[in-house]
Amino acid sequence: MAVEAQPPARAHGARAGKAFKSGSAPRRRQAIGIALTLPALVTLAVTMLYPMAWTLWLSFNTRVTALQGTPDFVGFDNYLRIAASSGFTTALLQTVGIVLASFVLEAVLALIVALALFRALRGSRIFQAIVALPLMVAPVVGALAWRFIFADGYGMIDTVAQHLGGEGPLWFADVWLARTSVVVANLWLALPFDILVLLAGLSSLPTEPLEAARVDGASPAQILRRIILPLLKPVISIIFVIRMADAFRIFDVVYVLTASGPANRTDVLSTYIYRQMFSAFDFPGGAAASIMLVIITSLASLLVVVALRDRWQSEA
Amino acid sequence: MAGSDLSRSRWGDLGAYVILVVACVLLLLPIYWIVTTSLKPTPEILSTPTRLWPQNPTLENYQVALSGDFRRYLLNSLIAAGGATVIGLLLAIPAAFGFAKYPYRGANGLIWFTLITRVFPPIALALPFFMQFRALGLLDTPWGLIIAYLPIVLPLMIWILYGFFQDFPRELLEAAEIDGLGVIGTLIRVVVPLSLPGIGVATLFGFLVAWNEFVIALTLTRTPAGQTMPVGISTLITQFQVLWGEMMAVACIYLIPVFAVTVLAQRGLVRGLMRGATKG
Repeated sequence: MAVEAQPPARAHGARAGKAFKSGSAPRRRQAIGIALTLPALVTLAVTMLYPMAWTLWLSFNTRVTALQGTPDFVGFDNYLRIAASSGFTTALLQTVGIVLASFVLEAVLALIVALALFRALRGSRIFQAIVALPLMVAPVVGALAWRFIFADGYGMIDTVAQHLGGEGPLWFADVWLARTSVVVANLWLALPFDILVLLAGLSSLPTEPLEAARVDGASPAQILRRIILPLLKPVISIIFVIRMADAFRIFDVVYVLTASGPANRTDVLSTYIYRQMFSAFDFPGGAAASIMLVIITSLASLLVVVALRDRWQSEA
Repeated sequence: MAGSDLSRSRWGDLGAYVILVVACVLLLLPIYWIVTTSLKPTPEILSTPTRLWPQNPTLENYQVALSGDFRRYLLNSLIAAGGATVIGLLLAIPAAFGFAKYPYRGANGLIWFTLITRVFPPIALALPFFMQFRALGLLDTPWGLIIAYLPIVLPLMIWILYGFFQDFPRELLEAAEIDGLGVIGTLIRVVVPLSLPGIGVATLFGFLVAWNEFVIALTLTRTPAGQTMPVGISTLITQFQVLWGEMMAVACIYLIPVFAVTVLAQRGLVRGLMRGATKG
């Protein structure tokens, strides 16, 4: 209908636009496209595909290969060895646990804060600026700050506990407390991103459905569940995919905060791979673990994208 | 603005304020602890129970920090992040422009590929880079890090710019073509000057990602000759003690520009975060 109603001038413009896109000399346009993108693509091939391919190749060979470059094919031996080792399975479980815990906590906390900011109260610009502060802080620096908060004796938590006449727990000696500290530090680094992106999503929502629901006497909880959350789904899924990929490759926080301790019980896949490669010098094993991490992360991301897409389509 | 249309109740407002105050206090806590610790003399830092604020504020931690390897770390960070950003822009601007305005067979698959690379864990790149750099003599140099940061910086920039260039008005390109400007001329004289906000966001993100990077720098550098700020700060955790005062002073110096950028460019950052993400 809208197409038929178009004035001739618009239609002409649309046709001219089409001609520009795939027009009279499509070959030439395609050649220009290839020429413009080629330098970046070659750079990516050299700095990313080649190293990844090398890692893949190494994962089917031995240390001799890594050091001398001569093939020494052993099939899936490295994969079987790594997958069967308790170090790898611990790190895998740990990583999945952090991904899940972070996701649930981030989703709930970020939504609460974003909704509070969205009420546009007096002074909310200042609140927003404060909430945004950790947004671009290096994970290493954030983790160091938290290490000093959790530290025994002179750490902030212990200091407060001592002033109150008690004593703080030894955060890095207990497995679950150490895990908690990792999730908390990670939360601090990730929440500003979650909150600001959610807030941007909230601010771009159409106001009519909200108004209508309010006029109809819907409670705030109903408005949130029935209108705001469904409308926010695209934004939430973006956050989910990005944060999941980030959480799967978490390294800095664990390396600095707990150093995988106590007794490697807070190890994650990236710190496990790092140690396997640069402390144990098990290059092929580390390569096999790297490939498994890439596959796991890619599959998980794909699964999420497909699941979310199907749900949108079935509800649309 | 739209928020003021939401059901307004006094209790709701109060609840929102409480949530915001608690959230801000918790988010500011680590920053407060870093800043106050950096101003305490070492005995005061390590005394138990320590004070929640400095008794005898001093700048001695900053003097120690600035006289150490700090300047070397800063220079290395600037070279690595700055170099990767400049080269990244030179490659990403034409690439994103080509993808957005001159699509060719298979271009769609390639642009998706650049997005998917976001999922790759950097640790998977560490070993191959280490082996290659050892052979090329690039270990422990900030110059090597420029190369190693390209696979991280480049896809991010291409994605952010791709979104911006897609919205670039086609009429302007047609006009430039009629005026006889070649593709490169159009890009330099028309597209770049009119896309500065988008290029600014891409620059900011590319720089910050490289500036904050840790795993790859940790792997490819071993001494202050090549180490960057994040790695340098982490080396202050020694085997025997943690040099908290010095570390917190360095952290403060590092955080000031990061916070300044975050506050000043917040809108652009959020837009970039969404851009780098949308359609994926």
